[in-house]
Amino acid sequence: MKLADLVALASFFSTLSVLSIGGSNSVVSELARHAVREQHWMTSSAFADVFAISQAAPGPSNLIVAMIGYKVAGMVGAVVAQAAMMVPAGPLMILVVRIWKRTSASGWHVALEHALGSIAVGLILASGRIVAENSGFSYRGYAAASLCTLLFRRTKVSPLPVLAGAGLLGWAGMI
Amino acid sequence: MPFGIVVGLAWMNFDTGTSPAVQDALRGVTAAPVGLALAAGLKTGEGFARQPTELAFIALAFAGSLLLHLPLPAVLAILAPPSFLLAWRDVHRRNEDGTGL
Repeated sequence: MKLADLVALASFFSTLSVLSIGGSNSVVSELARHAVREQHWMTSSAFADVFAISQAAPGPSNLIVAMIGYKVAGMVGAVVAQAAMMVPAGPLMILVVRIWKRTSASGWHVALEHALGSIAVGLILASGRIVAENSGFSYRGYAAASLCTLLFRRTKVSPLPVLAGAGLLGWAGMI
Repeated sequence: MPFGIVVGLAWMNFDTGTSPAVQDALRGVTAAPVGLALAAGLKTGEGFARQPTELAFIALAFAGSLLLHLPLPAVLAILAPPSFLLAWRDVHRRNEDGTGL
């Protein structure tokens, strides 16, 4: 473990935390780009594993951050990365929520919602594609993901059984 | 607690490696969160279905991130200002039309 690694983790994740418009879903493509392509912290298939594990494990889905930190600099890296992802964004969120509630009727509020909302949707789509790519999805993988999308959009099914079912199908060699 | 579990799993994954069977299961598992994320994106996106400006920025953000591999700060710095200005213009137009959003 080197100090430079910890500084790299802290600066990347603290920046990411304040830029994660649209929540943790929209920053997965950025995580993959930085961790795999730019820094070579891990291979794309390791990234896919980490993504799946962090989603299947209990707790907030941004725990992928701790796992990337762990890969780079062990236990200390995990703590530094997760803290960097949470600390700067916390106070900022409280401030934004306060202003947001007061201004919901104004034109700029609506404009900002549309402006950032559309960018976030584009980033979510890119994230979905990058995860599929890194996981080595065949057409069956894409079919399963499409089915899950439909299921979550049209029904109120809880994610956990779907996740378990998809895992079982994968284990059986069907995805 | 969850943090401990995840670090434990990370340790298992990175330090001992995953077997092909585990990799298959993980690939299957991945379909669910991808679906969950896309469903959330779809929910927001459906609101923009008849709004060409918003649809254009969905496409631009997708392309910038996935095809051009631009860092997130760059995507936001390039797209957020024009996206906001155009949305702002649309808001005013619709207000003048009396149609609202």
